[in-house]
Amino acid sequence: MDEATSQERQIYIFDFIHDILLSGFKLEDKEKALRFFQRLRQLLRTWNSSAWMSAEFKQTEEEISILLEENRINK
Amino acid sequence: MNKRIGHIAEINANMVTVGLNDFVIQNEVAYILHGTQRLKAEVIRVRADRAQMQVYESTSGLKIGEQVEFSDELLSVELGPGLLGQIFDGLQNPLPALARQCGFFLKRGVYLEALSNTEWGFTPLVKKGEHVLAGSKLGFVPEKVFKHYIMVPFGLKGALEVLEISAQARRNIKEKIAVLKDQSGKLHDVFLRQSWPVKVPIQAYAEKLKPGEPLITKMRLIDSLFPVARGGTYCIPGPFGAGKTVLQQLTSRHAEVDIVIIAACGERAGEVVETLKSFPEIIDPRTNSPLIDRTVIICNTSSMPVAARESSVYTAVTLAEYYRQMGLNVLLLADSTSRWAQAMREMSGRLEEIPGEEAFPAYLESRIASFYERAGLVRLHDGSFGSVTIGGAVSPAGGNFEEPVTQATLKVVGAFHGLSRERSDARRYPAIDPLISWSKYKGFIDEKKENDGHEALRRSYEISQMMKVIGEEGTSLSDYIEYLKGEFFDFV
Repeated sequence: MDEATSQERQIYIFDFIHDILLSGFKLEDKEKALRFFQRLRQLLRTWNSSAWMSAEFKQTEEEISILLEENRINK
Repeated sequence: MNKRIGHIAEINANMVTVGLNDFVIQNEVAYILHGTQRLKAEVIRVRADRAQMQVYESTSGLKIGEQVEFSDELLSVELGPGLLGQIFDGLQNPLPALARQCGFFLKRGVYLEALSNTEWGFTPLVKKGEHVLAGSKLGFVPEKVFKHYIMVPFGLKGALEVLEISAQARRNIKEKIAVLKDQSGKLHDVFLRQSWPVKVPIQAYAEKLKPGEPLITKMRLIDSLFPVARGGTYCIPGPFGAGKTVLQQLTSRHAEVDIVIIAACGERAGEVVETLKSFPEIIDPRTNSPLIDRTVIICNTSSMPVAARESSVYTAVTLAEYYRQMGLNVLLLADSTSRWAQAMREMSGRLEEIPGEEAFPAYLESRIASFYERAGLVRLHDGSFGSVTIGGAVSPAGGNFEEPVTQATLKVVGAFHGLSRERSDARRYPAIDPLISWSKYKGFIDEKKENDGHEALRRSYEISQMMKVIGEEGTSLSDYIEYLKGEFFDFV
C-alpha cells in the first residue's frame, strides 16, 4: 500500500490517526496498553491492505472505531 | 574550415594532456584519433599551450604523439522527438542500438545518433509573419501520449519573425520545418531537433517561481511528513542496502508527474536492469500506457567509463529542462550523485588540484549546487508552467551523513529523506528515519496535524531512550502510552 496511496486516502488516514494521537485512553496498566496498541496495529495493517472505500475497508474502519470508543477517555 | 589538431603529450588513466599551438575552448569536445577509432574527450583545463582533457572511454593503448581533433563544440545533447522510452549512455548513445551494433560488450569509440531518422506528423502552431522568442512553440508532433512541441532554438536572442513554417505534414528530424529572422536580419533554419550543451542551463522562460505545490509521490511517509514540492529538490542519503534505489524506483513509477528521467550514475548494473525489465511491463494508470513511454533512462553503470558519470547527470538534467520548456512536469532521479562526486575526486587528483575534505575537490559544493539549481518551477512565455524536480540519491561511505557529498547536498536541497540501516534491517520500508529527515516544503496534510505527528514521534523516541536507562518498570503509565502511540504512528 505504501507504494501508491492516493492523496485522498492519505488525508483520510492521517486525520484518523491524528485523532488517535491526540486521544486519551483508559488503559489500566502497561500490559493492557501494550495489547491495545498491538491490536490497533493489526487492524491498521488490515485496513492498509484493503482497497479504498471497499466493503472490507469500511468494515475494518468500523472495527477500529469500536475498539477506540471502548478504550477512549476523551478526544 | 580545417579542424585544429593537437598531439597527446601525457596520459594519466582517463586524463590526457594535449599540446596545441592554437586556441582551445574550455569544455570543448575533442576526439583522440587512435587508429581507426575516435575517442571522445572534453577539455577540463587549459594552461598556455596545453589542454587537459577527460576521456570518456578507456585510454588503454593510447600513445604519446597521437593526434587529437578539436570540434569547436561543447558536449551537447540532441533534443527532439524520439527521446521518450529510450535508454542512453552518459553521452546520449542509444544503448539498444549500440548493443545491436557491438554485441554484449560495448566497443569504445562507437557513437550513434541519439534520435532516429523517423518521420513525425508535424502540425504548425504559428503563422508566417508572427513574432516568437527562444523557446516558443512553433508546432508539435505526437509522441506517445504527449504533444512533443517543436520550439524555437533556445540559443536565439530577442524577438524573431517567422519567415517560413511547414504546413501540416510528415517530416523527419533532418528536414527544415521553419525559417526565422532575428533582429539583425540573420536567418535561422529550424528542424524538429536541436542541440544544446549539457553544462549550460536552458533558460528560455519568462520567470522562475518559488516551488509551492506538493509533488505527490504517493508514498505516505514522504507526502505526509516530508513532502517534496513540484520544482523542488530533495536527497536520499543512505548506507549500502538501505533501499535508496528501490525507493527511487517506486517514486518513478507512481509519482504524479508527466515525465521521469532516470540517471543511473555509477551504480550497479543489476539495479538498472531491474528497471529496464520492469518498466515496459508496468502500465501507468494515468495514461494507460507502459511506464517506459514517459521515461528516459540515462545509464552509466559502475563498469562504464568514470568520466561519463558527470556527463550522465548533465545529460539527464538537460533533457529534463527540455521537457519543462514544453510545459510538462518532470521528475529527475539521479542514483547516485556520490558516484559523480567520486569521479570528480578522481579527476581532481589527476589534475593535482589541492584537495578539499576527504580529498574531494574544493569546488564540490558549487558543482553540486549548480546541478540542483537547475530544478525549478517556471512560467513560460505563453503563460503555461513547467517544472523539473530533482531527487538525488547519496551513498555516503559507512552511512556517515557528515561526509562532504551529503553535507554539500543538504545545503542546497529542500527536503532530506535520510535512510537508516536499523530501519531497513527491521524491514520498515521505506527506511526513512523520521527523526532525522526534514522538509522545507508544505504538503497537503494540515500543517498543525503534521507537526503533531512529528511531535508524537519525537516524544516516543525520548521516552524510549529514557526507558533504556530506567527500564519499563520505572516509566509512568502515561509516558508508556505516549511511547506506544509514537511506535504505533511510526509502524502504520
